Amino acid sequence: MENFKDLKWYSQFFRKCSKCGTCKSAYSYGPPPTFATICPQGEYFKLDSYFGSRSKSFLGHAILENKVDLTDPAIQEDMQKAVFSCTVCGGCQSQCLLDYKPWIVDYIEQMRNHLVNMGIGPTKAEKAYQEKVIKDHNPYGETHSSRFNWLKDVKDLKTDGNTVYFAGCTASYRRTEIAKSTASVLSKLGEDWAVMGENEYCCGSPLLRAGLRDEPQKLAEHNVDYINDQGFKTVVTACAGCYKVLSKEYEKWWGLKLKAKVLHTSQYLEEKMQKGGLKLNKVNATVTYHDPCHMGRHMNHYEVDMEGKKQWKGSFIQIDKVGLYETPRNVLKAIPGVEFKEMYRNRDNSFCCGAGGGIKSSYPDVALETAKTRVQEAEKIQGVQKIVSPCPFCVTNLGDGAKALGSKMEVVDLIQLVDQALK
Amino acid sequence: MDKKDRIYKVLTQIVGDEKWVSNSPVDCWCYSYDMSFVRPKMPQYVVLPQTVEEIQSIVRLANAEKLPIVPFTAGTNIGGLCIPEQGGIIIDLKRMNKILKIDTESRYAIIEPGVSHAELAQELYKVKARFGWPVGPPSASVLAAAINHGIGGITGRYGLNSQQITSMEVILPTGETARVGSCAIRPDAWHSLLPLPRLDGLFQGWLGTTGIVTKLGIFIPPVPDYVHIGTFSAQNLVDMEKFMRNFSKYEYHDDFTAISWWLSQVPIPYPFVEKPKGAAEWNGYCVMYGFTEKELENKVDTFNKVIASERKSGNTIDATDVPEESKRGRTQLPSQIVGSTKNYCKMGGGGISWPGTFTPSNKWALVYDQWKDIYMNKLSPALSPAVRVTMYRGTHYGMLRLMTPFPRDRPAEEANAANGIVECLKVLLDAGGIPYKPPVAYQREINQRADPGYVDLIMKVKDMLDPNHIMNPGKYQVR
Repeated sequence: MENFKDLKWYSQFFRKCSKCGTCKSAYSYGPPPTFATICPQGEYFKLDSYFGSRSKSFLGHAILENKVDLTDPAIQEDMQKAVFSCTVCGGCQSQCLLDYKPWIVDYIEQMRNHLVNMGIGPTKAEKAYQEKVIKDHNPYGETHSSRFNWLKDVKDLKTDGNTVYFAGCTASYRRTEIAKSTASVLSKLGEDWAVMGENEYCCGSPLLRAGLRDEPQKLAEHNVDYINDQGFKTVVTACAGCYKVLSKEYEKWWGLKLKAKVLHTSQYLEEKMQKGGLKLNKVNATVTYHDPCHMGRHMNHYEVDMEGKKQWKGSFIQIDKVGLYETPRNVLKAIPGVEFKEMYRNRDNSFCCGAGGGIKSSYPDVALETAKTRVQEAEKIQGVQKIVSPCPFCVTNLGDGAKALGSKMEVVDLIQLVDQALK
Repeated sequence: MDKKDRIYKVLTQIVGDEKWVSNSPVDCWCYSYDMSFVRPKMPQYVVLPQTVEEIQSIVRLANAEKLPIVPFTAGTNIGGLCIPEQGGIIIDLKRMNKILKIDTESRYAIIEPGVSHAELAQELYKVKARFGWPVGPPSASVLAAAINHGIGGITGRYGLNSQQITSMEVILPTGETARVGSCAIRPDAWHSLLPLPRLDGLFQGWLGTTGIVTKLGIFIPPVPDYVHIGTFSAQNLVDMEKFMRNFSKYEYHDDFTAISWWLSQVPIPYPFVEKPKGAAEWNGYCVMYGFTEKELENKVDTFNKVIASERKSGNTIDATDVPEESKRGRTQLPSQIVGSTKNYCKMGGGGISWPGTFTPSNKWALVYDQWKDIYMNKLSPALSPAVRVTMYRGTHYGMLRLMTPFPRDRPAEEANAANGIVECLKVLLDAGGIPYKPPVAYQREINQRADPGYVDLIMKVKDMLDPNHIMNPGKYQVR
């Protein structure tokens, strides 16, 4: 458990940003050398105050040392825009090489919390969905009782068993085809699975991303208590955002430990594959894969020498555990007939779908432009018909991008493709 | 409408969208300082034009309003060059980021200011061409580095990056456009500055005070097929320099560099640590290329013979065997790993600055000894004398620089480093070295020593080009 640290605590790291600007684009010598844009916020706004973790270091400095007058409503508005229009995708974090690196994503969210405490956040849209989550346990303004409407056709539904499927808000209310496919896959594989029913609340991710603390804690306590009380052995989720929160953040921030193992559906499927329990039929499709930030680079684990035993106090040593990059790819590649082609920007250098960090609600133009850019990247790959991603929120935003472009590119969840292959 | 709002509105009209203009202190703060020790200074506006015409209109507005303008690309220099000494308008050129042409037959490219080393490296690799990639961040601007006499991995063979300039388009401080070099005579000819008068000199090394370069032609030589990186060490800089001087007469090197023990550590130790007993104080590398095996063999053979000959005469120089990974760092540029992004800053705590200078090699050892004395004995905490020397093309001068990391969150230590840097600069100037990309603190020291006629000429040129003194004012400390 790390507990939330205040902005001053993070200043020991963000003041180590050299302002070199390496975070503003992705680059690798190779050979061949590869260059790519990496910061959705910076690419949209272009001002240096919006670009990469470098800008956030400038802003943290301004906030903590009163370099701008944050009592002025106009400046408050500008500060909110600069801090809250970031997708918090971590693309900049992947580029940084300094001791600032391990802390960048958490620091940006703490900066948001600091502004929330000053009354300079969350955004209007985030306030609105905060209220909806408090009232109905989901950010979409739907009634809690309708959360599992998508399950109407599922026979012999259970609320106990070895495995619980944590559907999450997006799959429950907006991408029910993903929820249905997940349920279908679990059933086809003979899993003894259940749902939480009316006891599934929002995981808390949308509120955490907005810099809120108290409400997501209540949601976390509720979900953890229920899952632990029911004695589930495994929690499976098809949502990258829920996966990050359930598997990492409940314990990290609040010491709330789930007794059950938390698996993203791709991990669940890979485990089945390794045990020989996944017999997939042919699906003819040429596909590419989009890495969700919450499942990929946000799940990287950083070794930091806090005590100065190996290097110096607070030094970043290495990434000692990488996020889920290969697992979903392994599942995708295991489907007969699927021709897999990699995006130019992938894994640590993947370009965000544009929906994260509360942006889809608060700054929909940024979200849509980012999604369009990502879809256009997929369109450049010869023969690719589908973008596959294991995240309902990425699927939604990329789908919106494709629609806005009038693109023929189809955007589907990995679990949908697997469901198709299991028929 | 007050002046602030009026100017904001005009800027918006010029660039066509409020999105590309800001007068918010939040945005302006992020343009107020850089990696260096130079204190923050706020602009009043930031504007992001996309065309030459838009820049011209901004410049005319600035003249009418007597507002300073400061060109900005990536903000990654370590001399505070884009920090607006007198406020005004930052003209952020990152939206002008096109590689307009790569001509492999005539071996030049035309680029806009926002093109980064990373971006150009990617494109040149595809056509087996190269440029002088620095050890700075890949995000840095090729154009800005070139016009400010940046250096790179082929400086030993071809000269400074500014010496690779083949033509340029400039917006003058009064708003007119001017072309210098072949493109001045024929719009599509960007191959050569010569034989025309070297008017490009009005815009090179002037720290963005004489105009805004909007297009640059640069020489892009082909990548040879064969490479060898010779590595060597010496116990002292006297021996190292003697060897480098003797071998450099053959002009076989693309990059010929030596670094003190403290700079060879990754990262630079902060604060000072003692060099282990027995460790060579100087290590070097010589990057040699050949278009044929035989050409390269001859170069390597000569390199080895010069080392042997020096050793016979009592020089402590010796060939060394270093891991291939370390060698690759010499040629695999631009790099996120090598240089100011990681090796230089990481331990110090984010800040980095230097006295970076052009100095004849026979002065290197003299200056280095004094630098060591200042850093190791006169500062608290003592700092690492992390020094690099590089032979430029022709050997009549080379680089001598002292990379100095410092913590951004400890003002006393930042001041300690800044003080050390300026003291070292004085020693350097007194020995005849000249700093490049100098912050204002250096400029004062330079001017104190400068020939009055030189300062007067600087003022006359500035007055002629920039009658309202709006172009990055204060950088030369002459007005």
